[in-house]
Amino acid sequence: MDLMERKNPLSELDIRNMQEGLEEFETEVLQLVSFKLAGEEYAVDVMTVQEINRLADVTRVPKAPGFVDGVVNLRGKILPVINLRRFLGFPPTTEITEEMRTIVVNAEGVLAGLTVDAVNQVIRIPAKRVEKNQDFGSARNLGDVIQGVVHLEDRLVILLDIFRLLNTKSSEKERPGF
Amino acid sequence: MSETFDNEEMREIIQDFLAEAEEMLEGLDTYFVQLEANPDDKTLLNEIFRAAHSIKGSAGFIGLNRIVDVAHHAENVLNQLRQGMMRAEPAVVDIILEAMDALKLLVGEVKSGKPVELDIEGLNMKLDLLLQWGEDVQTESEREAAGVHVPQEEAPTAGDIEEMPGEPSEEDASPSPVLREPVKTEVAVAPAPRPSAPAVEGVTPVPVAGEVDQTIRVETSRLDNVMNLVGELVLGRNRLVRLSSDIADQSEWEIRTKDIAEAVTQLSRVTTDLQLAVIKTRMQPIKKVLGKFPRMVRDLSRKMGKEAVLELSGEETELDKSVIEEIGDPLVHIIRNAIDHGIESPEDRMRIGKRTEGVIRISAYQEGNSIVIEVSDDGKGIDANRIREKAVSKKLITQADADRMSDAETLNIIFLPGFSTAEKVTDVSGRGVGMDVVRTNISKINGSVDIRTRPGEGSTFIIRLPLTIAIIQALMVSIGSEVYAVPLQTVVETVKITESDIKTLSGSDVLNLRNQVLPLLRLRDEFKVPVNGEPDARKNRYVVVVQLGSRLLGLVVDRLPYQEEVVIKSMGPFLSGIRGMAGATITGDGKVVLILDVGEILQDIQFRLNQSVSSVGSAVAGHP
Repeated sequence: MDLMERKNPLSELDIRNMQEGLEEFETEVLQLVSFKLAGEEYAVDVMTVQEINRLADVTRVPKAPGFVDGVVNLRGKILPVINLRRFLGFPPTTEITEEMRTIVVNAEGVLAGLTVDAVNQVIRIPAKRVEKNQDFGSARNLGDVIQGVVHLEDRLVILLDIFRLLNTKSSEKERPGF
Repeated sequence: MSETFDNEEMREIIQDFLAEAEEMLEGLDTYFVQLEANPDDKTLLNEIFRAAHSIKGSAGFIGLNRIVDVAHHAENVLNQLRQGMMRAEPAVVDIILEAMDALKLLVGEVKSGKPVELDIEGLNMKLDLLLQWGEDVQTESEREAAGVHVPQEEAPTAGDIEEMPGEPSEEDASPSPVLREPVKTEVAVAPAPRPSAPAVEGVTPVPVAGEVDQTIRVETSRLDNVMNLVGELVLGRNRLVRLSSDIADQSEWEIRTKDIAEAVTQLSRVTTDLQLAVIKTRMQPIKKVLGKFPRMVRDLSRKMGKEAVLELSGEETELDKSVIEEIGDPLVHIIRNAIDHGIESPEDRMRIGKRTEGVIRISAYQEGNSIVIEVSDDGKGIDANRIREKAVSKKLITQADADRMSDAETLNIIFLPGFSTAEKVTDVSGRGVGMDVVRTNISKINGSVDIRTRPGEGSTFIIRLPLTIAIIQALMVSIGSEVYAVPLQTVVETVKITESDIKTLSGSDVLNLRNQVLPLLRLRDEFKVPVNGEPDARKNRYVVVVQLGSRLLGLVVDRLPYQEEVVIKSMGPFLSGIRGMAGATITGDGKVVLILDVGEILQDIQFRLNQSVSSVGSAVAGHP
């Protein structure tokens, strides 16, 4: 809607649109990067995402917790790579597909790469649409790593708390998976 | 006054003050110890007075009143000293040192912002009393010299002073010893012209006008950054070196090869120079650490009723800043040990024919790629047999081990956690905590510590430290398709063997190396290296023999591709707790290679062996 070209006075519709836009502007809006994992859809705050890379050769780290695939060289920095499937308690996948990616997240200086099945899109939603306090059952290693869920038109997106995720001490989650 | 400066300037002024005050206070410690040995040294006295005065001035400028207060009281006493109206006896020096310690605490309070519990009133009163006493002795001897009979002035007794409300809360503050002694002798000798004559003797003008400072202070974070960049440069150079050698194979590139080779040579040289230059910016003379020791030795020996003096040599030897920060504590432990257990009491020493004063010598020098620090004492040495007995009784080793171990091996038991031969635990040492912490801290900076001793003559602790901790020489080893880096400093030798050379002893793999039993660790199993379809039936194996202290271990690997200088990169907070890995590096082909932490591996093996030893019967080594 280019106001410069407008020759007619603003119509009712225009005014309403502008008002809605203003409303949206005033409420806090979250931008999330959503991705697919084991048939479900998850997301993380875009502010924590540094970059998204294709899978690279990972150097295995003996005696690391089971959900750590290993480390990679990220332009001179050592980046631990976390297998999100394993971390969340899903059975690991055996085949590597073209769509798999490593999402590099940065939480207060702590860097890590999260391997996911496929990266979806960036979603913009008002913060208030995130529903908290859901019970996901004990089957998965989720604990309080989930910040909440978002109901979109046709699907459910689970929002992960990166800070909690990266602050999990290796010793707590240690399973003899080396 | 602080209103005239804005926050930024104020902060800078305070920073400057802190740096200056800390330096001065540190230097003062040494001066005082020297002063005790030469109580009449005018130069020293003037230096000391000037320093205290300067601190008082700067503190006053900023408005740090408590510091001004203490400094002022101390200054009064110091003034008396430097004018020859009071003598720097041990008792006097004790009180002044208390004041110095108080100043350090107060400066520390400014630095950290954490308030400090300090009885300034009590301290000031002590200082005033001292002043008063000094003046009284002075007037009294003047009058005696003038022929007037004066009733013996009662010196403030230790009792009086003890009654002062509260003492400055410091564990190290030595309680004021009885002041009577020195006073009695003083007063008795009153007529001597010494006390009443203010310094008429020509005061040699002290030349130190403040030489122009050739150094600058650099924020260590900046240096860290430069160091990082240099690291990248080293890796880039490695990459080029490999490229260069790869291309050399193809003849059509011959001409290009020469150019590339030249460029590489030049780059290589520059890189090496840059690396050295940057390492140097982080290096500081070791005297920064050694500076506080003369005072510490003095205080400790008085506390334990021994006589000991400290001799230093090689104080200009330089160490990386981070190494300097880490080496202080271990050295303190070793020195405490030497004074507590090494040096005999003055009576004992006299009886054996030694000088009553024990000598602790610290010398630092560079040897090849390492810095060596030797701490030796001329005390009673370490009795290997007593160690054997204690170790067996504490179940740290078996009797069989004890019988088999050589004296040299036995000495290293001292470094095991939980060991101590002290009959009683003094609050200084003997809790069995000191020595193992020493070794751990030294291994943390990739160093090593050994002991040599001669019963009856003394002991020497020899600490070896690498020149820099971030860049090391590493031996690459490969197991299956994986490559790991072993710090070359820990490698003693490499041996090529066949599978049949490996024997078993008590369930563990061992190797007979020149008639010594060498415990082995199969890294393939330890690290659970995936087999990858490669048949494990290779006949040849390589054993990398690593050593830390006197503990040896043979690491069984498949191949030894090469040796390389690598930059140690941190694995980040997420993975830093993993035992056995000291960090990672990035090789010439961009791959990440993990660096082994030999110290931790040795510790874990030791732990497992101990576990299996303590389980009764034939030990099935607890391999997972």
